[in-house]
Amino acid sequence: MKAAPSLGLIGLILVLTVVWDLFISPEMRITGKFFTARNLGNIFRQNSEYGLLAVGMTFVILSGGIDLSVGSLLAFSSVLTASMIERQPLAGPGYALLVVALGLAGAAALGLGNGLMVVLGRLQPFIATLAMMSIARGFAFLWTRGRGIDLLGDEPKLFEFLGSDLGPIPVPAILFLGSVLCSLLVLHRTRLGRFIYAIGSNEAAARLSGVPVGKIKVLVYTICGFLCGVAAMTYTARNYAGRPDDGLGFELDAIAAVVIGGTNLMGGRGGVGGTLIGALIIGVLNNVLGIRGVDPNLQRVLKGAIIVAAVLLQRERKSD
Amino acid sequence: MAKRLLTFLALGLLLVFSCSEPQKQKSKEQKAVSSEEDLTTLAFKNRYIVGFSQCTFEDPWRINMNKEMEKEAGQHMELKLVIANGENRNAKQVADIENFLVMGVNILIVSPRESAPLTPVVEKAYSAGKPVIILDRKIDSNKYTIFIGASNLEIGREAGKYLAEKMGGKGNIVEIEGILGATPTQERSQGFHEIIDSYPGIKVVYKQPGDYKRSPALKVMENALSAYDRIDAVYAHNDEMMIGAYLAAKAAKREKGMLFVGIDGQKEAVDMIRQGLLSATFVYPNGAKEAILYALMIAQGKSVPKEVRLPTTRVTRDEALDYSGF
Repeated sequence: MKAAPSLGLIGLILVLTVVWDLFISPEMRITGKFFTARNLGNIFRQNSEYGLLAVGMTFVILSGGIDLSVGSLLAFSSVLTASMIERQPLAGPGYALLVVALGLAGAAALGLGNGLMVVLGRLQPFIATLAMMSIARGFAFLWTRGRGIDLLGDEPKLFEFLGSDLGPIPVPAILFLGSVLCSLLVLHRTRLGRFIYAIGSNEAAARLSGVPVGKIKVLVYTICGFLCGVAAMTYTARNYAGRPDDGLGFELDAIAAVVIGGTNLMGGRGGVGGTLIGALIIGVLNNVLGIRGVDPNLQRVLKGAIIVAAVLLQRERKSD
Repeated sequence: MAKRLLTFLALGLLLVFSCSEPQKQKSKEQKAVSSEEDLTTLAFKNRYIVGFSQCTFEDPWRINMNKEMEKEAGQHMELKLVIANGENRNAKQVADIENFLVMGVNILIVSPRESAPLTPVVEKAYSAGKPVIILDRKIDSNKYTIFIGASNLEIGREAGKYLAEKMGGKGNIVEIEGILGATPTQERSQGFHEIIDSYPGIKVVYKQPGDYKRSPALKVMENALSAYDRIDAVYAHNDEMMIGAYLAAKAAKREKGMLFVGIDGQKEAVDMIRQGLLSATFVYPNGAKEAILYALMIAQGKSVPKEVRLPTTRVTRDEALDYSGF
C-alpha cells in the first residue's frame, strides 16, 4: 500500500487536533464535534468536487500528462446546466435527466478537445490544457454574459437530489467514492488501465509494443472532462447556481490531492487509491483548521507544509 | 510543407491583426474628432457631455450602476452620457479617462478600480479645469470636485444594531467575511463589531472568510453548524454569502428561527427576504442617480459639497417594499 504513509498523516492530524483541544485551547473543546456523523459528512460533502476533479486528474497524470483546465470545465458545465434548468424550471424529471446528460456531455466534449489538441495537434499537455482553461472560462462568461445564473426555487427535485443527503450519506460523496471504485477497476483490472500505466512509464516503448497511444490519450482526457462534468452537477445542485467565475484555482487543489496521494507527476506510477487519501487529507485539514477558527492565512501556510510533508514521507518509503 | 503553410498562415494572421489595430485607433480618432464637432453643435444647444469611466462591466452591482445612470441621464435632455468599460484593469481605465479628455467631455465621472493607479490621471483632469465626480472608491488626493459613496463602516454598524435588537442582546453569531485584507471586508467587520462587542450576551463564535462567493460561504456555514449546536444568527459581508449560509442551514434543517443578515441588496436575496426565508439586507447604494444630479448642478454652475455619504436602506420583509434589488 503505497499510500500508507499518507494515511498515517491523517492520523497525525487527528492526534494533533486532540492534543490541541486538551492542552492548548481547552475553552474551545469541540473535539467531540469533529467525530460526529454530521461533520464526517461535511468532509465528504465539501471535498467531493475536488475529489472528482482529482480522480480525473489521476488518469491524466498517470498517462504522463497534466490537465490545467479542470476548474474552467467545471464552471463551463455548471453554467451550461444551470442555464438549461433556468429555461424550463417546471419541466419534469425527464428534462432534468436530459439536462444532466447534456451537462456531462459538454464537459466530456471539452475534455475530448484537450485530448485532440495533445494527440493530433501534438501540443504539450501543459500548453493545450492551459489554452482550454482560457477557452472554457471564456465560453462560460460569454454564455452568461458575465452574470451568474440563479436556481433558487427553480431546481427540479431530481436535480436537487444530486446535492442532498441519502440518509446520513451525502450524494456527492457517493458519486466521488463510486468514481474512485470504478477507476480502481479500470486502472487495475482492464487492458485500458495497463495501457495508461504503460504510456506513462515509457511512451515510446508502449507505442513500439503496439499500444494505441493516441486513442488511449484522447480517451484519458475525455474521462477527465467527464468527471469534471460530474463534479459540476453536484456543485451546481448544492449551490443552486451556476457562476462563470466558479472553480477558479480548483486545478491546483486537484493536482495537490493527486501528488499527496503518491502519484508521480512524471506519470506511470501511483494510483487512484492514493488520490482518495490525498483528497481526504486536504479535506480533513480544511475542516479541522476551519472549525477551530485558525487564522485563514495560517491555514494556507499549514496546507503547503502538509503537501511537502506528505511527499517527503512517500520518498523515504520508496528508498527503503 | 505543411509546416511552411502553417507558418505562412500564422504570419498572415499576425499581419491582419497588426493592421486592424491601428485601424481601430484611427476610427477612434475619427470618432473623437466627430464628437468634438458634436460638442460644438451641442454646446449651442446647451448640451453637456458626461463621460463615465466605469472600472468593470462584469459585476452585477456595477451593471446595475450603469443601468441606473443611463436611466437618470435619459431624463435630462441637457446631458449626454458616454460610458467606458475599464475591463477590470487599471491601465485600461487610465486610457479611458485620457480618451475622454481628448474627446473633450464636459464632466468626468470616475469609479476607480483602485485608488493609487487612478490618482495621477484624475489629478491631471482636475488641474486642467475639468469637473471630476468620484464614485464609490476614493483616490489618494483631494484634486476632485466631489466624492459620492457609501460607508461600509456605517453599514456594518447598522447591521450590528439590527441583529443586537432582534437577538434581544444575547446569542451566538456566525460571521462570514469577504475577501481578507480588502477594505470593504475590514470596514464591514469593524463597524459590526463596534456595536456587537458592547453586548456581553452576544458572541461571534465563528468567523471565517467566504470570499464574497456563495460556494465557499456554504462550506464555512456547514463547518460552523457541526461545531456549534446553537447558532442564532448569521452576519455575512454580502448577500451572495448569506444565501450560501442559508442553503447550508437548510440542508442541516436548522434554518428555522435563525436570523440571516447580508449586505448589497441583490435581487435573489431580496426575493428570499420577502418570502420570509432571510431576515434583512442593507443596500450598498451605487450613487449612480446622485452622480447625474450633481453633474447637472455642476453644469448649471451651482456649488456642490466636497463629499456626499449615501445612507443605506434596510430591506426586511416589511421595510423598503419598493426596493426590488439588482
